Amino acid sequence: MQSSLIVPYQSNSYSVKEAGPIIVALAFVIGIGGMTAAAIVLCGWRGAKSMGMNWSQKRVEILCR
Amino acid sequence: MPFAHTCPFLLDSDKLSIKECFVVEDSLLHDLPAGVAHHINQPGRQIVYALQQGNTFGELRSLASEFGIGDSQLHDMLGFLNLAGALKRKRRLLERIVVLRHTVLQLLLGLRYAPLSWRKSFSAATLLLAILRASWILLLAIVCVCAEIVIGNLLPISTVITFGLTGITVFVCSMYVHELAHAFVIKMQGVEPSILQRGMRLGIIHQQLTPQVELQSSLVGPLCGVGFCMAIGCMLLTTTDNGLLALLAIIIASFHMLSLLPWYGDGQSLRKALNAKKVYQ
Repeated sequence: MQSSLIVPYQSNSYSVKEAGPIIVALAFVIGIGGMTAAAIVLCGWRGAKSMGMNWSQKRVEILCR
Repeated sequence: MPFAHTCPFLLDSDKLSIKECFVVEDSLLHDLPAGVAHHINQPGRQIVYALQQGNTFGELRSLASEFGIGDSQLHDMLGFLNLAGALKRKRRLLERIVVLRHTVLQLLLGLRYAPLSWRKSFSAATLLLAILRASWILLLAIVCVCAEIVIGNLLPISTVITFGLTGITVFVCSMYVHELAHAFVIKMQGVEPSILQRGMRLGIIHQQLTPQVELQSSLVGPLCGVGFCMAIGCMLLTTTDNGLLALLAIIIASFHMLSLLPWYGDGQSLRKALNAKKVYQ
């Protein structure tokens, strides 16, 4: 079996830190984009008047124009 | 091979070299800004010497086979150098277009190569550039979603532009404040940091710090990011009629708080520092 040509210094970590805020923000933007896409599909070119979350019934409500 | 998966996609014609801040001495590869040295085995040294002179990937492969180095070993070594931000790659414009097409096709098949790391010494301009490089996909997504909202006739165009621009500005500036706070704590110890960016990840490379300073650095970044967003939120609440803009700033503040969770970078550093502090005591 071939061995690695390099042995890294143990306590040093090159794992880069700040991915959290960017990934979560991207998920948030994709979520809004998904809801908007759903509104376009459901309402067509008339467009939606409003969209939001109905927490009591646990569903998304999209009102068309 | 622990680092083979971090090797970027390479063409035989890609010219590869190693950054000047990495120096080879006997069997050690010194990372001067990080203040560490990695051990290189004998055949691996030939590859690093060749990289110091600048060679194409094709030439490196021929050299590797001359010294009995397998493809997986070469990829592992280049993967480690990429992980450390030591690898420089020069590619012709036409080949970049061809590679872009390949990358898209590979992504559709579920194959993804590691992106090339970008490492620079810390300055105000390089920090901004690193943030923009790490978050360009997010910024593109915001622009696409804004266009989608306008096409879907959901909100007036002026409102979409206001929300889009506010979101982008607050996010980029808060990330800047977040990273600047980390770097400030490190610089206070007389340590010169450098910036490492790979894909959507961004970090500050520095010499080893005491657990106390590591703890401060991990906490100060997210807290400054949250503080900045909160301040902007309060300012938007008092200066505009639209409370939703302030809500947007608060949502961005929560993203910074999430980075303290143990599976994200700052949370990991915090946990490591707390453990080290316990051992030290």
